[in-house]
Amino acid sequence: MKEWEAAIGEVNTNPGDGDELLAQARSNTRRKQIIRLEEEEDAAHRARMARLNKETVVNQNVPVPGETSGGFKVTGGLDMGHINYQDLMQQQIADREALRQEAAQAAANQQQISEDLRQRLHTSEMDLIKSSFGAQMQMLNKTIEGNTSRGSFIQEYNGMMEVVKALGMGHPQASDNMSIQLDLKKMEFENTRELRKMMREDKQADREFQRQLNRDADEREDKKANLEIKRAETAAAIQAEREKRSMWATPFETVGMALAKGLMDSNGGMSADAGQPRHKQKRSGKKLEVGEGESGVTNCPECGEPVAIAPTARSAVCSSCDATFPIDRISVGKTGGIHGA
Amino acid sequence: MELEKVKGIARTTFQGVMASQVPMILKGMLNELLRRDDITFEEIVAMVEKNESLLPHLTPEMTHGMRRAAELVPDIDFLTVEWFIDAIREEHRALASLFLGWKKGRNWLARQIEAIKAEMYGS
Repeated sequence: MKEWEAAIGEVNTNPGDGDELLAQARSNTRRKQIIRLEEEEDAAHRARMARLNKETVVNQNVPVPGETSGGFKVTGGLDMGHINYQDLMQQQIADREALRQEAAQAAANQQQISEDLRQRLHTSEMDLIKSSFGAQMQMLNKTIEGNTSRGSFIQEYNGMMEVVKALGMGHPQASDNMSIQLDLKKMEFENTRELRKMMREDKQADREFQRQLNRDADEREDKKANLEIKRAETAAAIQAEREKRSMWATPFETVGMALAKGLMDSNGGMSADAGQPRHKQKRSGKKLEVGEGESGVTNCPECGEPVAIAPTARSAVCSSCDATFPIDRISVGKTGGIHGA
Repeated sequence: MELEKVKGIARTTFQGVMASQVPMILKGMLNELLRRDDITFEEIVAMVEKNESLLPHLTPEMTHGMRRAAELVPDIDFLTVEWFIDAIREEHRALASLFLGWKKGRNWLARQIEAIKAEMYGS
């Protein structure tokens, strides 16, 4: 184990060489120190040059004794050496860039190392969680297997809650809320079941009612059909009887019936001599008021038997008592019917 | 031979009886016909107003029966309007009253009787 590995307590698994990285880091540090020293020397050189310039200016302004006020001229030179500030600056910039790149490279390497370490830590934590979760799941499975099909859903739920509490994952408040929610769900379930039951009963009642209606309709149809059959049978029987009794279809039978009828009516002396009216018509003092064009049957004012009034007749004769009644035609709608007067 | 005589006597007797009783027979037939077909006052008035003939309303059976009756009774001169009215007087008073008091109806009835006679005797 290397020194820095001992410092962080773990072994390096990074494919890069840690010693080389450390050497680079130290080289960078040394280079930074060199750069700092050069900058200090540069600053000292600049301060020295400034001081020399200042002393030169002061010496030029001090008057020399015995010299006239007309001034004097100083000649000669001062070799201050050759200083190339631009090259120096360029060199410093290049060094700085190189150092910056080295620092960036070192930082990237450090970042990679840090990421690698973080990844390893995360992996370790996940392994720990997995192991713990696996143990809890195993325990839970055992508990569930032990409580399987021991009762209703509520009992199973209570068993599950005990298991959860035993595992340290249960929360009393949550448990209460869950119980309330479970009760609410249970009530909702019961309510839904009752509603569905009621709907089923309603539908069944409707179907039964419809079935009863259909039965009633069928019975009505049957009765109607039976009545139609009976009516047809009756009509057929009547028609058969009518045909049987038809005086024209069975001449002899009808003649016999007519003979019997005629003999029964013979009290009135109906004979071939009855060519003239038996009764003489007598004029009645009563009149009948009838609308113009009206006709009908009314009762005889004399005997009460039916008397016919023809549409254009001027008189009416009772066939029972032979009374003759004059007819007064009046405008239609004035009297509204046939009236005796 | 005797049987034929008996048959001839019976036939003659029957024809005599029929001839003497024909008015009564026809009266019964007429009233029965009116009652059976439920012929009303309004129907007769309508037929008279339209001068509608009765013959189309007679069925072939009725026509056939009348012709057979005509074979048995050659003389039906008694069949008049007055006889008709007198025949229905008791059972159909309203119809009888109608023909009694309505000249137009009487004329129509006379025409129908003549038409029926012509139909019976083929004249």
